[in-house]
Amino acid sequence: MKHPEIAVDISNLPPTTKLRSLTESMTEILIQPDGSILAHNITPAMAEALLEICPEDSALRQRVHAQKLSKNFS
Amino acid sequence: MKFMNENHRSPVSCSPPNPTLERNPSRWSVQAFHREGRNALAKTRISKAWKLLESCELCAHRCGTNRLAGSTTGRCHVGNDSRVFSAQIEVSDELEVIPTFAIAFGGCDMRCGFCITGKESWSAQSGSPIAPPAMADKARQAIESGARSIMILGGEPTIHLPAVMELSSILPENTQWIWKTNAHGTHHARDLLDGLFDLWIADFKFGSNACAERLARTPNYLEAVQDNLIWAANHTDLIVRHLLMPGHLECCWKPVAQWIASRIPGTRVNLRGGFWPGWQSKTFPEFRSPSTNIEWKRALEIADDYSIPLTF
Repeated sequence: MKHPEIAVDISNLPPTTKLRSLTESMTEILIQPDGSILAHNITPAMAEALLEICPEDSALRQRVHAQKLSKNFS
Repeated sequence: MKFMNENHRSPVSCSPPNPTLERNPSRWSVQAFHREGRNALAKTRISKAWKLLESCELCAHRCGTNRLAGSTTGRCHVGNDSRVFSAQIEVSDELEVIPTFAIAFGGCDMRCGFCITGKESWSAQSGSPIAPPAMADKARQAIESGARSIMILGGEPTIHLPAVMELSSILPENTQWIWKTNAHGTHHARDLLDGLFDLWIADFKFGSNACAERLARTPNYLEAVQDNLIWAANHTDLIVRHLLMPGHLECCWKPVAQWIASRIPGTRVNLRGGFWPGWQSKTFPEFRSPSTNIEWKRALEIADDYSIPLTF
């Protein structure tokens, strides 16, 4: 029995969504009209880059610090 | 410029500021998670997991589809193969687990209208077929590079339990294993997972079945999720995640907080602000813009009212 009500139409998606290599890393960022920035799947390198943009963000600083508590992801 | 890092899957709760968190500092100590025997335990469950696909009831939709034969007509549209669309070190999850090596399986049994990774998470064809030995090697390299944990997520990993058991039978045991789930599995799934993962990070997305049906096309949501959360609270470490959805403070967050306080008191909750109005969110009028600071402040008041221990 099919369940078309939740079928996924992936025909119009960019090819990267189907063929993304597992050797790639990716963080998605959304910059909103009010200047706020949303980000998810943040990699260590991206966390450091975001902290450069917004050095006063204490929570982001904690995340960068967390990775430095471990070994250095360079 | 301010950051509001958010995602229902693996966000950062950078801002808005959360004074409640001051009273609940994150656990920074590196714990010893070496648990010998997990590989062997998972190995004993591989054949059972595959057998369950003959009439799949791993998720609470209980389609009964014969996925073992390759049928993809079930709710999740996943057949007998499992694909991974992302496997990387990330720092956007809870502070106590990062950096984590996050392995994301494609395909999900729910259809949340606000899903920002839906184009990959919903599709059973996203990513590449998983090769457990290669993935375990990659995980091992991540741990050697400094990752503190391994997180299995999706999409929804519950529907991939055969592959998860195969992978778990060879993952490095000397680190924390995290099961990131929508908490919509059945007792069949829980039986397979019992004793394997150190921490469940489980979503409690909706406070009513009406919202779950409308926003995620998922009937009888509360019964399934609450069963899983009670089980998880009694069998493993648990963090509950709730994404604050615009316009769903009273109908969703408040009853979720109330239930947690009464049924699994003391459970840590990651309340996530910074709603991301992405992908198919525009389908729902209330999801065409982010949640407001007023809603966020009210959400924190609710957490405080029910003495919810927030984590981030």
